[in-house]
Amino acid sequence: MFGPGGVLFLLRHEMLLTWRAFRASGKGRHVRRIIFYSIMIAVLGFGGYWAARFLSEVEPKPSVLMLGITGGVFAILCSLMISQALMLITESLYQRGDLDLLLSSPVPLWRVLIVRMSAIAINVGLFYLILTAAVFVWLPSFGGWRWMAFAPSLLLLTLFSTAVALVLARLMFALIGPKNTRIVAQILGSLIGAAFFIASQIPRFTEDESRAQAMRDVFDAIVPVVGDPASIVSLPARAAFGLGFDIWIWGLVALGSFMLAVWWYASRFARDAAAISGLGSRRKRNVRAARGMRSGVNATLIAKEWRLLRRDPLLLSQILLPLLYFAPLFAVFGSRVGEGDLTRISAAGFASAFVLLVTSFAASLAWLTVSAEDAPDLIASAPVSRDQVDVAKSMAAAVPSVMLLLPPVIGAAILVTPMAGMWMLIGGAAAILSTCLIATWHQTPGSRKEFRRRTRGSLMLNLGRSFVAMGWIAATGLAVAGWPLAAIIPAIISGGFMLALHESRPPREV
Amino acid sequence: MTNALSVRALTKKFGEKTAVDALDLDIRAGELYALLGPNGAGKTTTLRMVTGLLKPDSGTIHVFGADAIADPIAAKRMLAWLPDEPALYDKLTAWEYLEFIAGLWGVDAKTAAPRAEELLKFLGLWDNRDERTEGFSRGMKQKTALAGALIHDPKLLMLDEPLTGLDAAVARQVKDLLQERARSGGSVILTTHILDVAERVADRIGIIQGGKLLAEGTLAELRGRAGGASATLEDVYLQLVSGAA
Repeated sequence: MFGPGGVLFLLRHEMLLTWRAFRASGKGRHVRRIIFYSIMIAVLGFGGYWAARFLSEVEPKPSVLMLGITGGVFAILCSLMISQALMLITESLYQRGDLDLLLSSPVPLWRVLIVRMSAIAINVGLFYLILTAAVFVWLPSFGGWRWMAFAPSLLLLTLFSTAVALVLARLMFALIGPKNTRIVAQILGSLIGAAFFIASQIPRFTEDESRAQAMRDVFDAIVPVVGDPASIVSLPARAAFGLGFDIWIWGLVALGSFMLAVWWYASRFARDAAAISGLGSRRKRNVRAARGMRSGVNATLIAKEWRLLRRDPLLLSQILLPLLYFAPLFAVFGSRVGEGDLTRISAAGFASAFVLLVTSFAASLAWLTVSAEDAPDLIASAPVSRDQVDVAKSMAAAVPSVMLLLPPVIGAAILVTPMAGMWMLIGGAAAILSTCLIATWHQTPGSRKEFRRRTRGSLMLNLGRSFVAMGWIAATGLAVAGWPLAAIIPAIISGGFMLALHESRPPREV
Repeated sequence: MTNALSVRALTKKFGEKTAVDALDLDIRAGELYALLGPNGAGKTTTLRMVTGLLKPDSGTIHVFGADAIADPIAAKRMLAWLPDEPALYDKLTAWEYLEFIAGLWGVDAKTAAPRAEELLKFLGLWDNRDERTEGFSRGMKQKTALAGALIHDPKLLMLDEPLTGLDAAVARQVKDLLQERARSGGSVILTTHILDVAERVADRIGIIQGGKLLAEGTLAELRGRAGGASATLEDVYLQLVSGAA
């Protein structure tokens, strides 16, 4: 177990790689990281202190209500963990790293898998464990010992969730293939995350009375099911309350499911891994007759950017899924219009939100088209000026963003007033243009695979970018609300930040 | 006659390290020139400066008379650059890649399409033209990149280690293509570690170390410097490089 090739040997290797990757991700920014982590520890410690103090005064009575609430929270956590684990499992096969080396070694497959999946479980549960640890470190000092069983129960929940994710991954690999599994896992993960956000936002837009009634109905329906002390469903919650042998049973269930899932997954693992490594292999396509080509720098650059986007469903889903977060807003906008209850102020709020939406969309696209160039040397060696390339690439980001903006603009012009539509168009277009210009002035080169880390860069740049966007959002809102003169102030602020960002752009090497 | 490439006193430093040290280099039109040197000798840095990917600290570069520093666009129009790692887009097909390159170099579509067909057929990629390059082997990727470099019919083709990682058949195809290119009046400059390649295909060979040109000439001229007609290029190279070290 401890010797070369043993489980702990492999685990140490895995942890070393994780640690090195973590350290490399913040290279050259030690001071900022130290400040950030110090603040985080202080905030967590402070919050944990008060939470522990409060909990210590509450007797952990495993009533139906308490079990129901705990079970509900665990169910939410479990779904979040499953979605995260599903993504990590598929990623672990794609971002192979040393997988080929390990698979070609004489180390048994199950050992490699146990370690890799344990690392995933740790990764999945780490965030929640840190949160709970902030509370648990204080609990003994307030005499809240009886709440301590929550920690192992939560840890076991991460193992159980990883096991479920493994089973799901195995089924999805078999049903829809490894490539689609990755995309579906990505979409599912985002949908689960978004679902909680959307569900939490909907009550904000409903009347107090109906909101309270809806909450009561949901509560009454869920609590008796997940809070039934005789039911298997309440086992994790009962374990969290430290009831009898429940923690041991829950431990056996979680650990057993994890081991079983790993064993079941291992039976196909080598084949799935091989299938994924061969994903890039050539597929038989219908060979078409030689066809014409496009001419011109702009046309070919834009066509290339759009092709690359269209052919990367994973990336496309990452860009489009955040739009889901605006779904409640669209729903409420529709219902208000239907009821004839759209005031000038609420129209302004909606207009601002739409501008925020297109700005965020344009920022994602602009990073992909301008910064995430797979062949920068090729572009740099072409007889085309940098400005010409930047303009074409910005257009590749701006055009879809404007297309996204147009339906709400037309909707506002018809349903609110033509002027409201015009102000939205001006505000949205200004925000898109600013976003694309900033993307060309302050390029943060990276691979398309690093999409999630696109906002890395200087704090001042990110602040400047945010202020520009907020300025246009506020200006649009004010103009749509009927105060176009007042909108000049945030517009000027945006313009000022744009000027500052233009002046602070780094010099070009070539 | 104007040289294809004329480099004078070209210098590039990275911090304290001088990668290219007052280099003078002339490549004639219609010549296949091989630039040899150990790792870190300054071969790639030199070519990257010619291509406009790196800014020289001092010196001049002229491509067919065009000043590559003052007017890089004019120089780039006549150049093609093939790096050791082919710069392809995984999600584009071979045909779309060539379409993109042709667009960047401003080649009219009516000229580009038949040229792409001719190149893909010559390189044995015609049946793969509608496949995304992500599934291509190393050799196929290299050949696609080579087709991209030739689609705009460059007057000067520069290749950095073009045969690395290629199997014998593909390497032979690439060598034939380069020789054919030189025979038809195009100029080719390539860097390589493989002395045999330089010996077989190059009209002239330059040996560079520490950013300086140690020697250049035809194989016979270099042999003469090494003191024997029977000396191989390897003998000449090792003698020069170890002498300069």
